[in-house]
Amino acid sequence: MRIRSGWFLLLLGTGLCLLLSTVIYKGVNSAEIGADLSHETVQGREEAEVASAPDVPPPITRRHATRVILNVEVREHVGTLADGVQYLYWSFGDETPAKFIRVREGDLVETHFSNHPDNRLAHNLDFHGATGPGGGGEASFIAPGHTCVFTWRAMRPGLYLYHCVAAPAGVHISNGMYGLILVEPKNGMPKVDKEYYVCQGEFYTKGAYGEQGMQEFSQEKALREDPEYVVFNGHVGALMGEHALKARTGQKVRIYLGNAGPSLVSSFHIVGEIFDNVYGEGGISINQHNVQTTMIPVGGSAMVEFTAEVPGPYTLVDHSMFRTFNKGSMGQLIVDGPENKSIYTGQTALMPYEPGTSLDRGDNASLGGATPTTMPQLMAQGAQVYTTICITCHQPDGKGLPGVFPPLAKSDFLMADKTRAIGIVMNGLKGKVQVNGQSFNAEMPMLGLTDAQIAGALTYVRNSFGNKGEPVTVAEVAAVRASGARKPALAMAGGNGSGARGGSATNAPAQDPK
Amino acid sequence: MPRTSHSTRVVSRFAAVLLLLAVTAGTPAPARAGDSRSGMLEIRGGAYRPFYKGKSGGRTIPVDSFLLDREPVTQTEFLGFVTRNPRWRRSLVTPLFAEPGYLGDWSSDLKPAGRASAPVTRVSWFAASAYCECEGKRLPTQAEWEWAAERTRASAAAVPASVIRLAAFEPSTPATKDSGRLSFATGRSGSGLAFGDVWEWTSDFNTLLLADPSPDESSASSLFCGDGFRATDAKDYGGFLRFSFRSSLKANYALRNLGFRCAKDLK
Repeated sequence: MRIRSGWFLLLLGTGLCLLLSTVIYKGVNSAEIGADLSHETVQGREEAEVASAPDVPPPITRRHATRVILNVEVREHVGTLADGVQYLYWSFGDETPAKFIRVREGDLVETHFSNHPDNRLAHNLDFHGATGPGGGGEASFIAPGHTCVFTWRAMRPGLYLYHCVAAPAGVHISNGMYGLILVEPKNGMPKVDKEYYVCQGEFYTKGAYGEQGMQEFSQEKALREDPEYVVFNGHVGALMGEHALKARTGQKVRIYLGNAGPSLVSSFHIVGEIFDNVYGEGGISINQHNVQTTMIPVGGSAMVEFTAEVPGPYTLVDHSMFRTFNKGSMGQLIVDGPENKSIYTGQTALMPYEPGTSLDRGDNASLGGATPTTMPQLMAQGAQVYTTICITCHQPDGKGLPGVFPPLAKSDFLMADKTRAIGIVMNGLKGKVQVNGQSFNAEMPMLGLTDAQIAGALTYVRNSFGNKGEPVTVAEVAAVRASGARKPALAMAGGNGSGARGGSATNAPAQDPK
Repeated sequence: MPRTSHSTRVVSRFAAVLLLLAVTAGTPAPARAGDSRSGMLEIRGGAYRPFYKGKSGGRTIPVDSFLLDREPVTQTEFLGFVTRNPRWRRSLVTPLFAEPGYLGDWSSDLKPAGRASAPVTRVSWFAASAYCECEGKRLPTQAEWEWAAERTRASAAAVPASVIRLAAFEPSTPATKDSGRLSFATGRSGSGLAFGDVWEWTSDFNTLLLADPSPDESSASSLFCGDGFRATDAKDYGGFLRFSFRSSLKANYALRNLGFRCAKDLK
């Protein structure tokens, strides 16, 4: 029919004829798109270039725009989510992620969208690369057992997600209805040696991760945005072992990355590689070099390029490590080739190490496991607590910050009442205090220290920064704790806290009106 | 009130569907056996809260008490209908009233597929309406269907999540095959409604219009991403699946998983 249209053009060569051929063409295809001379002329038609993950179709060498015929079929079918775990996938074709589609900037994408008659639900297709209502969502919304056709112009080059957006959209996406389409710039992407396709997605199953058998969708977990599975390329292990990505040393590799979500942003990282180039968020410009981890937003994409230089296995992860460790977002890249000792030596020596010091690992190892009782033990314990906690506010010299944090150095308030001091360190402090004639109104938090730590810290501050006082024993701290006072101490005498007792009259401030 | 009933009637002239699921209706009283209502159940009326709020907000619309078939219409029952009414046979049906897949699983005009008692599917809204009319009945409105299913759900303690499961999340044999029949029904015979694993037609054409006489203009887009905020209960995912499916239909469609049952006014 297109040939016939061409004949009309040749024979008559008039605008009227052009119109006529357009009408004929429209009748035949029911997929015409309005002509517009401001766009590149579309020549010919061809099947869309597609490939199954992790593969990518070859670069487009065509130097003109064409009409690309794209067939997409929705199939609700049982697939394998992990070893021994089945799930009712909803997908475009039999695969999640769906085919990687490669078109050229300026192409018309004539999309033939079919909903398999055995499917239960209405579905549709939203191309993030299309400009128009719903990205095609309205035009493609169809019942099972039907096919529709719609055409869109790939105007803006970039890497785009496509997905089903029928309500509830999150269910359709998390059940597997997504893929990537690359709209190549007119002059193509820079040449690389290897191209791969990796798309992250989540599954919300009623059963816990790994629970065997057929799994159902969990609406509850979906609404909490708490998936049981976070995977690359549709199921656990899709890029592991024999399915790992492969490259040779010296090869330039590009990975087209997508994140269907629908909840979790991906922090994509390859352990042991640095991305030479990142096309941030799937645009066509390299916006950063030497990137360790790149963000892939939900409903978005990115392209990364690197050169394989050192042979060995490399792990692809979402660097949100708990989901990688426990929910499946892990893949592998195997690099083959000769070693390159100028870049990476591997292990060259192994020997014993005994530095002759010990570390406080929280089990009183440095005190031989004993409760600090002597002055030196209390001072040692206290110095450790002071330099890790108290120092932040009270400063290395114990002088605090004028008007903000009270001084401990030569502090009348500190030295006046040991029991009050214990209560303050134990429970925190709220309200105004007078220290050395200065008024302070900052809050000291409850620190959650042990009795030994409190005893040590107070012994330390009462015997540092020019202070001199008797030690505070663990037993004294335990006695205050046993008195049951829990509330933050109020500064005023006669207040609610255990630490409020017995301040000297000269130091007692007015009670905080709050 | 007159405005509402008028609107309801207007809408009910059109087609739509119902999705089905669920189980058993506890509150309805069995209709008296022996009259034309045998095999039907009386559904007590009430105030139905539409799935979509529309401009008027979350108000309810009244549903009068009515009778509803206990089970979807079977292959055998539909065979009787086309035997008596040749113009609804597969080879004779007016193409306008049924797409090519109409009764497509039958081996010939009068040879149904699968088990005789399985729900008939691949029937258009026109055919379903004609069937009910011949029986002195009609298709239920969407409000009636949802109302009955809601009562059923409440009384059976079946939550929306299970509706989702039954509707779509459980791979089960299509209803036209033998094992699909009433596989999820839990009601004892005679005690309630039986719902199979098939969607069902309703009389109303446009779901969104149906539920509310003053829908807002953005109705169409509500089928997609957005619109949790327009639903009466944005967490009723089963509801979204039902209304989404219905809105994808045209009255001449004949789908593998779409059947129907009839309703009747209580006089």
